[in-house]
Amino acid sequence: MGWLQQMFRRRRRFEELSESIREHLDEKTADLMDRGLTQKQAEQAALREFGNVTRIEERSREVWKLPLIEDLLADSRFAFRQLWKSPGFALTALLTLALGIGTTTAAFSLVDAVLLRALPYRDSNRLVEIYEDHSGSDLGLKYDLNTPGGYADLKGQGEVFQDVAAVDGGNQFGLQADGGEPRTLTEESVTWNLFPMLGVNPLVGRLFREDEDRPGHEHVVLLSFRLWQERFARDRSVIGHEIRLDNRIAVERYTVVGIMPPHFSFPEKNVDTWIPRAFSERDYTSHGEHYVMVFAHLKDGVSVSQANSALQSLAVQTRHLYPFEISLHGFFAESLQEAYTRDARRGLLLLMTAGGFILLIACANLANLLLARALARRREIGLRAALGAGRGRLVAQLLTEGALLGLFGGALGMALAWTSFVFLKQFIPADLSSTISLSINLEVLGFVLLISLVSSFLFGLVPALRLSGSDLTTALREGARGSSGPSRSQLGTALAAAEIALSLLLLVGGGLLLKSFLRLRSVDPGFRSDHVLVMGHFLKSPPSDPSEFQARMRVFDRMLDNVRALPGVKRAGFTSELPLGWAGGRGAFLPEGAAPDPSLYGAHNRVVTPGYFETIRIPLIRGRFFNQDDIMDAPAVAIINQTMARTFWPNEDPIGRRLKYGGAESHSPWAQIVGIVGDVRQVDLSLPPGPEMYFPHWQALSNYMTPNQLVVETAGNPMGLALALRSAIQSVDPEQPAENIYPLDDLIDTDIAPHRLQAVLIGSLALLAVVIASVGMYGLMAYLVSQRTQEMGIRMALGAKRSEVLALVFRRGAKIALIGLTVGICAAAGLTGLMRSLLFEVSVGDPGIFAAVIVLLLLVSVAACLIPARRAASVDLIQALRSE
Amino acid sequence: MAKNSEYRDLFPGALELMILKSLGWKPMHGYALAQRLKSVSEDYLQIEEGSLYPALQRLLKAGWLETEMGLSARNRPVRIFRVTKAGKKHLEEELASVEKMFAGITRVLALAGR
Repeated sequence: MGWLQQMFRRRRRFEELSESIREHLDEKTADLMDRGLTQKQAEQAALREFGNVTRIEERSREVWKLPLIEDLLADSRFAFRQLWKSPGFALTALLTLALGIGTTTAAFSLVDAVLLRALPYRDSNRLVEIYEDHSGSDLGLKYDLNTPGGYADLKGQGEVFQDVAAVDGGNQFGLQADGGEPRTLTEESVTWNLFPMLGVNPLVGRLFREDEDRPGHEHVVLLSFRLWQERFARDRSVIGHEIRLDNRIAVERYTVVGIMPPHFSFPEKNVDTWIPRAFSERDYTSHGEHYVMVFAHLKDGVSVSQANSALQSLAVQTRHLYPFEISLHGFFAESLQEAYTRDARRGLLLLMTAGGFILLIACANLANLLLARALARRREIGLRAALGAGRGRLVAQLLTEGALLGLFGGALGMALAWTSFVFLKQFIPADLSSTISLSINLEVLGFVLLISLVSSFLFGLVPALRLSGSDLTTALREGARGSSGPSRSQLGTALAAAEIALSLLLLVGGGLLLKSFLRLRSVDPGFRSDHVLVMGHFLKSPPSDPSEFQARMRVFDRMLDNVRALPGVKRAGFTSELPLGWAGGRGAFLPEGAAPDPSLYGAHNRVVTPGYFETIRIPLIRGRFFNQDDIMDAPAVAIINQTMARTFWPNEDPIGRRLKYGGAESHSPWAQIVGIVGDVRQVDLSLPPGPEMYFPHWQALSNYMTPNQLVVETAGNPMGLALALRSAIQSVDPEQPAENIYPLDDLIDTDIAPHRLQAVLIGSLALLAVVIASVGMYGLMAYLVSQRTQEMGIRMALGAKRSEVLALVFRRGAKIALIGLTVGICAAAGLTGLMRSLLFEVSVGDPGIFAAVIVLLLLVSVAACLIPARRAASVDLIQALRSE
Repeated sequence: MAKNSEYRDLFPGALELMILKSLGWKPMHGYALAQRLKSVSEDYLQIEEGSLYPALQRLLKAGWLETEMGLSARNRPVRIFRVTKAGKKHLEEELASVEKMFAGITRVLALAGR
């Protein structure tokens, strides 16, 4: 209320002031009339001696004002009127700025959401994920999963870890019909201590107890909020009840003990159930199979690098104790946040950089625009200075105009950023997408405000200083000519050249990504995806009991028979793993006759039915495919890919050789290699194929892989067969969930989509940059030409040809372009190295891209000069000289 | 923010000081104050009448003056400016320091040339 009172009092003060002045003049007039003047003379004399009444009143009122705020308001009003008066300028400026701020803000909100926000777990900065590093060998991965034995060893590292938990993740379970459709679930098997370590509490019920991750006690389950809602209608009485889960060995009963909170999902998105992972004593000594994710909570005061050096000595021990782990380069811990955002980080920083570049280009552009405008306004400013506006007030006025533009641009930019969220969501790493979302939060608001003000200061300050520094009386005297000093055009040149340099960087970046994407798209995946339908997540994996195993295999065969009998189906087969999908895990094997000291024999391990290779058209190089004769009691056979043949039998024919799945200790039979097939890309298109071995389903009793993906080659549109396929399958097994049906083409799409997204995004930002920069270049050239109209006129009057005048303008444009290009290329040499990891088979110095970008920018520069140059050359002689 | 051009030849605050002193002698309205200053200074100081008003507003704002209704020499109702208690105190302090300053200046002017 204080300010209202103040306002009210102030109004009375102002009235009193006017009254006092009127009284003063009245008294004085009366005095003068006493001295014999007429009333009119007296009034005039009184006014003369008093001074300018309006101005004095104004100044007296000023005493009561809050100087800063009210000046600011006045300046803003004035600035607003100024902008309103030149809508063309205002619109260009606002749009440019909105684009700059918009892209930067969008990029920032993404970075904020993904990289800056802490994960929603307790002590999340002390949580790490631990990997086995096998990058020491050709076949190994840097981020390999751990073995159960390795997990046990890590648990012993008590001096660096407060707690260590394991997840056997990403299993597909079946929720069996209890009234509803059978449904596939994403299940994670976790050690009991995982949730306490994360600091997550259940919404309803309880977590696992310490004794529940031991064999025989693990038949308890935690449900995700989503599953609870969709399947159990949020019924709390489900706690304590049993549900039937197909855990791929058998359908078993699990007691529901708790419901996890909404949106909680660990370690991946869309987890439906968690059950305890009951490692046996035997598991704890097993160092053969890599399928365990390990998470740890660092002890207080222990840094990630300290933990890593402790892990290094553990790796030495492990290698010593388990010689076949020869490829184990080491264990290493990585903060959980980094583990989740590792792949996204580069892309995000690239996006952020691109956004920042756009903003810088926009600022340079605006600085140029404002500079030109300010010089055109020299007279106005000179006049205001002559009327007593101090230098500070003039600078403040110009900066206010800049800030006004900045804030409006910022608001527009934020709206722009907000609308882009729908699209940008795709940049959030999949595992985080359920826990984080994009929003305009306080950080983002603060960021917009900050960059709006900083950028308006950047582009507002240059003209403000230039102007107020100059002698304003000359400005007035020079009048209409408003001549541009040398420093004006130098500054303009520098700004325009900077815009070109930045555009070059963006174009090169966009071009590299685009080329990389095209390369990737043209990679031969090794199989054909057209006309192929996939039905995923077949359950009921073969148990180790031979008679049940046979029963299950017969189910697969009957399903295949049914499917092949469908009209429109050409071929069909099952596989344990589709190409482009394998995310971890590697099977050990032993070639017959290899050194008894088993070292580095590992390959992707697949179990397939006859018909699989033919369906997705993996070519047979030599030998034969599997057929109906490769049954349980027949001689064991295997098919390997070309890479495997080349790697392990480099100078001989592998056909007829034998290998044993599982390595020396395994009970698998020796399988004879009967065929060599073409390589397929197993992990994604950008990674070269590794060794791969295939076993027929009837002979995979001791193989842990299950042929659980059905592929069907169709004559027509594959999705047209979805319904028929479902009933063909469920007529054999009504409890088989049949939700996951999609065309195989989707797999390739999913694989290249992120690359396409990146290329399209950076590419369009680069084009945006070029547009803004060319507008800037055009603006500068047009301005320079208009400033030099007289000079051109005089030159032509003195006999210069039109072509010479034309050349004059183009030379100027070329100079700007060349400076910009040179600076840009130098900067590109330094910066594009950061992009190396994002590129596929494209060198960062790709000469084609650079050449194309340089040509494009030269063309754009020429185009930007064209209109101003023609205007210069068509200067009307008389007109030009008369304006003197 | 104050533009001091109207009494550029005086030191800052001099006009306010003279106003306070005059009004301390007798509460007056604006015109009378202008007349008083003019006659006392024997036209030695060229003070634009109007420039009194910003100064008066500053003094009002500082709380050293207050206004009340009164009568002019012609018996018209006018706004009279009166020095407040705080104003008197301020005036005394200022006068003391001004006198010191003048003493200093006088001394320098008298001796510095020798």
